[in-house]
Amino acid sequence: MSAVGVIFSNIHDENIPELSQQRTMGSLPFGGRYRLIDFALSNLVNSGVTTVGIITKNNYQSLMDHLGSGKDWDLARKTGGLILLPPFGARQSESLYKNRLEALKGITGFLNRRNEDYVILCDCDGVYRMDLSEVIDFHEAKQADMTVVCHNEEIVNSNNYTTIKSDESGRVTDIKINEKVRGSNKFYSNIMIIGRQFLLTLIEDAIVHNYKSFREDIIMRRMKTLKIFSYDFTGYHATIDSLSSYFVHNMELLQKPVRDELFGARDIYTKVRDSAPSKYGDDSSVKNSLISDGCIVEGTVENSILFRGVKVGKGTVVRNSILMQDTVLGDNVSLNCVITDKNVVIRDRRVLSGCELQPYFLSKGTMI
Amino acid sequence: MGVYIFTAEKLYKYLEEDENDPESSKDFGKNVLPAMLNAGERMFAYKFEGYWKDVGTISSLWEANMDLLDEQPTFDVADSSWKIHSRNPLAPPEYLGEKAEVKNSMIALGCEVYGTVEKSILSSNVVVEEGAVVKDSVIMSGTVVKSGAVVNYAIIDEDVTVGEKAVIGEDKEIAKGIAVLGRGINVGAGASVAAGNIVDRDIKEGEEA
Repeated sequence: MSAVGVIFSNIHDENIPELSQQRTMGSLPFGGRYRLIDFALSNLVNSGVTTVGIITKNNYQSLMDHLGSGKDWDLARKTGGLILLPPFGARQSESLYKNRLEALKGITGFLNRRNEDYVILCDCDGVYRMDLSEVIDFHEAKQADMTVVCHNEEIVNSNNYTTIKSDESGRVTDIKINEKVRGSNKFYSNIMIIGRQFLLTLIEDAIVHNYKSFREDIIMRRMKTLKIFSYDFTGYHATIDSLSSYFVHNMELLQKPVRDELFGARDIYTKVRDSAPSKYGDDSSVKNSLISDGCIVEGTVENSILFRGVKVGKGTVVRNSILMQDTVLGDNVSLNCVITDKNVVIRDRRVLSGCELQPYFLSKGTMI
Repeated sequence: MGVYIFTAEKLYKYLEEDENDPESSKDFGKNVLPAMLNAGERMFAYKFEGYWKDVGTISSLWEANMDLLDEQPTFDVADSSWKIHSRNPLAPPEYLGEKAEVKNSMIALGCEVYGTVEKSILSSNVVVEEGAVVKDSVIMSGTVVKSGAVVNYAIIDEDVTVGEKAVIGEDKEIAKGIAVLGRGINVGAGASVAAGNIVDRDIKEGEEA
């Protein structure tokens, strides 16, 4: 099998405006030392993919800074490797792409120049560990035209999702957008396997018909005529589609089974920073928390996630909070259900609190 | 200190001369440097005032590690203006459990701490199970300290398993030396390794070494 990966780094930015104001969904920090794109990239690389195109739109400086040459994912290569696909990169276009189909139109040059048999399309809104070579085997065994990956999840706050129904063989029988659902349902994971040449034909066809939507005009419209199969992923899959789901899914990492499934094989790659190990002071007390490298903890931390380089002063108490890279807390600060973006500074004796359903958010570089 | 800066041409000249000298015992400090000095070359000593520690013995290796735990360490590995570049472990952030007690310690990525860690340095991917105690010790990557085990005043190499309720070393105040466990060994449940002993073989369940 040979496949080229294509990652949409911006496509769900509007879901979490708080966190995507200055970055792409792909560069959203997650789990102490990762960015969301690390999961998609690591899955592709670990499945044997050596060429990955990353579609960008705006705010992608942080993404470029994170990815660098791609060497941390073993994607700094002479042929293929990590290829950033900026907007206005190839075709003559007057405006930024507005949806997935327009984004794909913009990369037909890239797809044409590749020689892999398949394209794996994926987004940056999922946290999961998946062997995509198994999905390609499934795709081949079913002689499918398209394979869409689905997973079961309980989605509470989302405003843009796709539910899928399939028959016993896995053939997709119904696709619905934003259907009112309760409890756990089968959702499209925004991961698709499709023949490269076939995808190019579909894009050309969409251009001449002036189609607007990849999902509606290409997948749903052809559900009956094409062999579209659903691959049901049964592992852990978290969709990050709102600030509250961001909070909840980060906190799920405090559960050992979730951590073991995602990180047990030690093959989720990320940019490395050469930080020193974290240091815990004489009066520190840390319970049920994930602490990344380069932190200095002098106070109390409970049920929380500390990203790299966070400092917690003496007498400070942090509970149920997510503190992103280089957040600095002074002495005797008290935080509960707070999310701080990068480089936030909270001075001595400040008291801040949100609640589980509505965590209190402080944007990048805020000083309180 | 073993740190020299030479004008390259001079160094090559004296090395070649030394190589061609049948009388020389081919020792850098004993032959080459004295030859340069005797020839009247401009040789200077630079007095280094910063932190310097030779870690060539078990106790100095232990001390150098403990120096990092000072509140304001003279040699600060976290100094962002003088980054220490290294290999980065491929691991998630360290997890400290509900009952973890961690004081005055340094803990690297990928560790899982459910027990007590005091005045110690844990390298990446070390596991300290519930009820286990690690004190005044240096523990290297991938080592597992099982529940109820006590590690006191010790240096443990990579990928060692310390079995349940095993006892390694004794309290620093009364120990006659640092207990050392070699790479990859297995210490059985309830076994013990006395203070100051260096062990590089598996220790059976209940055995005293």
